[in-house]
This record gives sequence, structure tokens and C-alpha cells, in this order.
Amino acid sequence: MMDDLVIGGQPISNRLFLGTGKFSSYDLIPGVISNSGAQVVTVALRRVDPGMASENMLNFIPENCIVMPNTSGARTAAEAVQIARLARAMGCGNWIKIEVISDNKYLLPDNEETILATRTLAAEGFIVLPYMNPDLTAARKMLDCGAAAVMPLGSPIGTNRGLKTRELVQIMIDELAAPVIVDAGLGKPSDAAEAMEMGAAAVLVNTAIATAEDPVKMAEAFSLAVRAGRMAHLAGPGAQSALASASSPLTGFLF
Amino acid sequence: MKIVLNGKETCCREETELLAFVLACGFNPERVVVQHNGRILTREEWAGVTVRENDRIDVLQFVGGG
Repeated sequence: MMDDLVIGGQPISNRLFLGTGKFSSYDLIPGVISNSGAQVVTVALRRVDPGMASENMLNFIPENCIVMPNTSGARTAAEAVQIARLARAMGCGNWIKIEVISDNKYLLPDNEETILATRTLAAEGFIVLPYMNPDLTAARKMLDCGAAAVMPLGSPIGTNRGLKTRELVQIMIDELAAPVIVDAGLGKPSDAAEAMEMGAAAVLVNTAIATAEDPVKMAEAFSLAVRAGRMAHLAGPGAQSALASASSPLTGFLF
Repeated sequence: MKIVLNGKETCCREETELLAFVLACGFNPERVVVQHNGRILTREEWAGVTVRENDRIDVLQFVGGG
């Protein structure tokens, strides 16, 4: 069954996007990518001081993956734009996850600055995926500015608390023609399955996999959950009802 | 001479070509991106750049991130 998600003209068959932060070792990442089948992988850009150069992150990501740098560390649209341009100068494509955060307690994104950054970067030819607070109006503005998808949070970054924003994300899925990708906070494969059953186009998972006891196994579990949730969404879940409805025939009873 | 490398004042012996500077600092030129006085440089642009007194240089690379 062909059910590719197309973003920026690129078909993506695996709807689990993977973050690469917080792993105890980069050596885990190739196994996590191969076991999950992830095709879209995020990275961050950081200053590196003389003598402190760490291993090259890109050596751990297969060449057929789409590398999606984020703009983490940006507090304003202008900073996000600068980080995005630097990331593109690395020569790994033009995808960018916009992340503009000035709230250090909950790491909630600033939708207003994110809209501004989206406008600038989309005009410069980036494939823009903004991380955002789930807000339909803000999402529409981002898409009007050229975002390729929108990425509302499920719960605050790194909390593993699941889809606390369910109602608002569902409204976005129902009302927007563009892909809605749930990013941040999904803690268990069942959270990912829930998002996919609701009709999310994909999910982006980092902490839940990176901090699992066995990240490689957890990556596969998330991948299976994403597939199951997607399949269930396409299959069309049956209606809920308040009262019971017998599954067995109501005729031919023995008693 | 003094330059500002990654936000920190740093001493540098003399004016150098950017590539030589990057190598002298121990960076792998293939895996870093450089910003020179706020201007992002493509690798092709490195050749024409000399590091001079009071220059601001930022050297960045990809790391794990979500």
C-alpha cells in the first residue's frame, strides 16, 4: 500500500521522525535509525571550541536520511533565521525545524516569532517545519507564510507525558489540509499510536527513545506503534456509543 | 593579536588565512560552518578570508538534537 507522506516534494514512507539528542552515545544512533526505519532525523547546531571537537554527528546518520537541523537556542525570529542559514551552509539540504523558545521553564515555543521566521525562511527556499504551540490560527498563519507542515507539541519537550494537547491537535488535524506532525512530549509508543489514530501525518520522538533503557528496542516499538496508528486511522475506527451493543446475535438464545 | 572566537576573547599570533586558522584550531573543515564578523561563509568563500585583529569568528558543528 502506497501511503507516502510528501513534504517539500519528498516522499516519506516512515512516519516516525527521530530526534538525536540525549543519547548516552552517538554509537546508539545507527541502530536506532535502522531499527525504527526513520527517514527524517533532526540535529542541532552548536559552537565548538578548539580542542573540544566531538565526533561528527553526520557520520552516524545514513546518507539516505533527510537531515532536519533545528534552530534550538533561538529566542527570536532573527536568531532562528541566522541558525537556519548557518545550518544550510553545512551543506546537508534545506529542511529546517524552526524552534523559537524564550520560556526556560516549560520550553514552550513562541508562535509569533515562529511565524515571522517561517515567512523569511520559506521565502529563502527552506523546507520549513515549525515547532509550535497547538493553535489553529497560528498554524494557518505559518502555512500561509510557506510552512511545509506544522508541528504542535503533545506536551512540553522531554517530559514523556503524552498527548496532553489532544483536543487542540485534533482541531488542527481536522481543519488543516497540510500535514500536522506531533512533536515533543510523546513518552510511550501508545502515545504515538494515539496521535497517528487521530490523523497526525507523523510524529517526532526523541527523549522517549533516547532515555529508554534499551533505545534501539524502543525505537522499533515506536515505529510499530506509528504504523499501527496510521493503519487504524486509514481503516477508520468504528463509532463510540454510551450504551452497550451486543457483539453476538440477539436471537437463538438457549435460555 | 586578539580575536573573539565563539564569543570569547582569544589570542592569535598573526593574521592568517581562514582555512589555516581553522586547521590550527584543530577543527575539521569538512564538518564545521564558520561565521566571520556575523557573515555566514560558504566553504567556497573561505579562500578569500583572512583572520585579522578584533575579528569575530564563530565555528559551529552539528550535534545531537531533537
